[in-house]
Amino acid sequence: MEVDFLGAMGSAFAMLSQPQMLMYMFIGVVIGTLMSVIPGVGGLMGIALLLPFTFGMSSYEAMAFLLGAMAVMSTADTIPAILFGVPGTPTSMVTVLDGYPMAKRGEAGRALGAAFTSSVIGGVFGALVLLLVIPVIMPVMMGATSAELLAFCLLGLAMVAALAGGAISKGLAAAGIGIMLAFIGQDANTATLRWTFGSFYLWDGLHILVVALGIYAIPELADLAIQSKAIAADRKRSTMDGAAQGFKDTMRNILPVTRNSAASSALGVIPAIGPAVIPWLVYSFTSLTTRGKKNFGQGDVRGVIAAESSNNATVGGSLLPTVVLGVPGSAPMALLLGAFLLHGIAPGPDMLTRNLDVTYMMVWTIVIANVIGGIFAFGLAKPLSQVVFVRSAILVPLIASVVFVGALQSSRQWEDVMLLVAIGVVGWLMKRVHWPRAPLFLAFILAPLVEQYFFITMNIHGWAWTTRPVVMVLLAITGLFMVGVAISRVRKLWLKRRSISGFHWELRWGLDALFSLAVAVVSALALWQALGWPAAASTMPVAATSLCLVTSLVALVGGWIRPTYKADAEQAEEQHFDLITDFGELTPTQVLWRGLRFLLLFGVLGVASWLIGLMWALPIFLLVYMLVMGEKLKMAVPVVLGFWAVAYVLFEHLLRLAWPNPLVDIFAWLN
Amino acid sequence: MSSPLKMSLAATLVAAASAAPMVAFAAEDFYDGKTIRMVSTTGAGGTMDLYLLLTMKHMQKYLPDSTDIVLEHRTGGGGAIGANYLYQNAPKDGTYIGMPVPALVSSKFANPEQIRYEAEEFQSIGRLVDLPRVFVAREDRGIATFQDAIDAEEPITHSIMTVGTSLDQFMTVANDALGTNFRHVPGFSGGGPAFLAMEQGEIASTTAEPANLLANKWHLVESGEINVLGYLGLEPIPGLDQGENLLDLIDEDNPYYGVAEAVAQSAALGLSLIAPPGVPEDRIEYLRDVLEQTVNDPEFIAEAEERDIPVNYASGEWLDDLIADSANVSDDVEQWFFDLAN
Repeated sequence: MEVDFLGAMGSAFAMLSQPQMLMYMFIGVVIGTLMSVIPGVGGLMGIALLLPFTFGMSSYEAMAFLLGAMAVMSTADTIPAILFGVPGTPTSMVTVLDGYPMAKRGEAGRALGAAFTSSVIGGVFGALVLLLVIPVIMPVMMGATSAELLAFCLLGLAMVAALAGGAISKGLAAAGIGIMLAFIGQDANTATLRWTFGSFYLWDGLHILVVALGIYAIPELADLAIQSKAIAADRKRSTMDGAAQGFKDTMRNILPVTRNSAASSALGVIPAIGPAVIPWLVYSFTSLTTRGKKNFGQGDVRGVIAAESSNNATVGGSLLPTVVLGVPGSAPMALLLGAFLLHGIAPGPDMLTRNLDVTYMMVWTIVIANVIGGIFAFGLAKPLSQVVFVRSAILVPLIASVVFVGALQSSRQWEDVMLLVAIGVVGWLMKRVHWPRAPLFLAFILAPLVEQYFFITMNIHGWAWTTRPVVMVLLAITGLFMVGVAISRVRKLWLKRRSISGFHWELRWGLDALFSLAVAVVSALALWQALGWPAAASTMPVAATSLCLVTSLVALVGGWIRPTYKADAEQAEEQHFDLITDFGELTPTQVLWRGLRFLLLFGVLGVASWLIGLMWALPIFLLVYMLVMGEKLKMAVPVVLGFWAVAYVLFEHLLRLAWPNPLVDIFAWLN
Repeated sequence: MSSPLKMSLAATLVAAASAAPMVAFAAEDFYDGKTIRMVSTTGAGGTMDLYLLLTMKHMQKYLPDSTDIVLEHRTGGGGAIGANYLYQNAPKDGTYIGMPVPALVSSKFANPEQIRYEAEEFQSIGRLVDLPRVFVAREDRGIATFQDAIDAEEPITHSIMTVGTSLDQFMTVANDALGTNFRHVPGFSGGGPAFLAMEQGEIASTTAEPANLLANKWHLVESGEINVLGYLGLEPIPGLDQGENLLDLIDEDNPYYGVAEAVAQSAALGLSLIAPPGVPEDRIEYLRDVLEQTVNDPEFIAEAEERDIPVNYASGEWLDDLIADSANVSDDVEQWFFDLAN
C-alpha cells in the first residue's frame, strides 16, 4: 500500500486545527499541568481520573484532551521537583538533582525558566523528529528483540559508574541497594517470593513512586525541618529575571537540547524502554561529555536542561510502540492505550498506513500541547518561585501532607506510608554520609529489566545473543564507556597522588562507618537468603548482594584509610552527584534529634490517618506540627483551615481519591 | 380454600408484587448521590479497563443522575490484592463492586496462603465476556495444528508471563493433557509483549486473547504469518472459525481432563463484576438489573461492535453457579495448580 506521508501530515494538522479540537486539547493541558504539581496525582493517576470525562467526546476530541494532558505532565511535575526536591512523577527525579540545589541558592526562577524552556523545545523537537522518521520506524520497533533490549539496559546500568562521581565504592554499593530493592517480590521465572518476609504487600515489588518520594523527598523535608528555615532563607528574593536567565541558559545550550530531545524521542520508540529510564541515560551522558567547569548534582543549570529536554521528548517516542504495536512503555501510556481502544483507535500497523493521519494528529497534539503547556507553566514560574521563601514550620507540613497523599496513591495501603518512611530514613542517612542516591534509583529502574531480558534472551538464544550485530555494537559502547570511566578515575588518583605524602589508619565509628557496616550486614543476610533460591531466581540477586557486600566493605575500610596531605598541597575536591546540606552550627547530636522530631511528627499524620482517616488527620497533623515548631496559633489556624478546605474539595470531590480504610470511619459514621 | 384464606393469600401476593418495585426504589434511592467505585484488579490500560470503562460509560444511563462511577485500580498479587480488598475491606453497602481476574477461584489452589477470601461468598453482578485463550504459532516454524505441536521433535518456544499464572496454565495443560511439546519462556510483562515476541519471530508460539487477536492481529493470520491452532474455553468463540477447542480433544477419562476443565472454567468466569459478601440483597438485585439493561442498551451494543469489543453477557445467578462449581474440584486438580505455581 502506497502511503502519502506529507498528505497525512497536512490533513492531521488541519483536523487538529478545528476550534473544538483545540479547545479540548487546551483544557487537557491546563488540567494536566495542575494535576502534575501534586506528587502521585499526575501520570497514571491523572490519566485514570481524566478518562471518564472523555466518555461524551468523539474519539479525536478524547485523544486531543488526554494527549494534551499527558504531554505536559512531565513539564509541570518539574515544579515540585525544583521547588521542594519532591519529584511530581518518577520522570522528574533527574530534575531534582540540580533543580533543587538551584532553588536553595535562590535560583528557583532561573531553574524553572530553564526547565520549562527546555521542556518545550525538547517536546516539540522530539515530536518533529518523529514526524520525519515515522515512515521508517516500523523496522526499528520490530528489530528490538529481547537481546537488543538487554544490551541497551546493560549500557544504561553502566551509567551508574558515571553517577557514582568520585565515590566509586559508595556509588556501586548504592546501586547494589537499588538492585536489592528492585528484586523484592515474586520472580517471574520460578515464581519464587524474594525478600517478601511473608508480606503480601511486597509480592509485586516496591512501587516506583514510593521509592522516588522516599529516597529524595523525605530526606529534603527532614533537612528543611532540621534547619528550621525557608528553602532559600539566606538568599535575596528570586525574581522573574531568574526565569529569563533560565531561558537564556537553555538557548545557550540549544545544541545539547536538540541532541538530547532527538535521542530521547528515538529511544522512546524502543518498546518497553520507558520514560523513567531515558532521562537518566541522557543526564549521565551529558554530565560525562560536558566540557569545562561543571557542577552536576550540585545545582548546574545544564543538568536541569538535560533532564527536561529529555523527559518531554520521550512522550512522543513512546507513543509509537503503544499505538503501532500495542506495547506501551509506561503505565500511563498503557492507560492511554486503553482509552484509545475504547474510543475505537485500535493499535496496529494500520496506524502507519491506513490511519497514518491519526498517528500524525497525535504527534501534532504533542507539539502544540507542549507549546501551550510551556507558556502556561512559564506564567506560573514567578509566583511559584516565591514559595522557597516561606518559613519551614509552615511549608514542611504542607509538603509532607502532599507527599503522604502521593505515596498513598501507589497502592492505597498503609504499607505505602511505612515503606515511604523506611526508604526515607535510608535516603536521609545516605545523604548525610555522602552516598550518592542517583545510582540507587537508576539501578532500581534498570535491574528488573536486565533480569527480565537476560533470562528471556538466554532461554531463546543462549549465549549466541552476544553475536547479534546491534548487540555487539551496544556492548562495545558499554565496554568503551567503562574503560573510559576507569581511565578517568585512575588519572584523577594519579594527580591526587602528587599532593599526598602518605596514608594513615584512623579507626573511627562515625555515622559513615556505621552506615557502611549496616549495608554490609544487610547485604550478607540478603545474600545468605538468596543462595537458597532456584538458580533462575537467585542469579541476579546473588550478584547484586555480593557487589553490595564487597563495595560497602571497601567503603567502610576506605573511610578509615586517611590520606596525609603535603603541607602546601591543595586538596582536590571529588565530584559528588548529590545534594549536601550544610547544617551550619548544629552539632551532629542536634541534627539527629531534630531529624527524629520530624519523623515523630510525620508519624502523627500516619497514626492519625490510620485511626480516623486522612481527611480528619490532616488538620490535626498540620496544627500540631506548626505549633510544635513555634508558629503562632493565629498564623497556624488560617493556614491549616485554608489548606484543609482546598485538600477536601480537591481530593474528596474533584479527584475523588480513594484511601485505605481507617479504624474509625468518621465520614461513614456521619452519613 | 376458605374465603378469608383466599383473601389473605391475595393480599400477600399483592403485597409481594408491590414490594418488589419498592425494593428496587429503595435501592435506587440508596445510590442517589453516591459514588460507585469500580475496582480493577489488574494493571491500568489492559482489557479489564477497556470493559470497565465501556460499562461505566453506558451504565450511567440506568443509575440516578447524581450517581457517579469512578474507576479504581487495586492491583498486585495476580489480582489477589484487589479481590482480598473487596472481600475484607471494601464497604459492604454496594458502593464498591469489582472485576476480579478470571483465576479468582483457582488462585486459592495455586497460592492458598495469599488468598484471604472465599470465592463462593462474593455476590455476582454479571459477566461481560468470557476470556478463553487462542493458541497461535508462527507458520515459518511449521506449526499449524495441535497435532503439529504434538509431533514437534524440538520444543516449541512459547511466551508466558510469570510461571504458574494464567498463560502458563493454558500452555501446561496442553502439554499435560494433549502431549504438545511447548516449552515456556517466562518473563514477559504482559500478553501484548508476549505476542509481540512471536510477531518479531523471537518466539514460536503463544496464546492470545480472542478480542485482541480478532480485532488487532488478524491481519497476521490472513497473511499466513501465524496459524491458529485452537483454543481452550467452555464456550465457542464468536468470529473464530479456525482451530478446535482443546477441551473437545481430551478424553474425559484423561487424568488431566479435570485440570483442563478448571482452566476453562476460569476462562468462563472471564471479566465479571462481583460485589463483596454482605451487600444487601436488594442492592445486588438492583445492580444486576442495571448491568443487564446496560449490556442490552442499543448504544452499548453498537459501540461494542464498532470497537470490536466482544460481549458475552451472563447473569449474576449463572455466575454464582459457575463459581460454586469451579471451587468444587478434586484434590488432584488443586495440587496441579499448586505445583505449577510453587
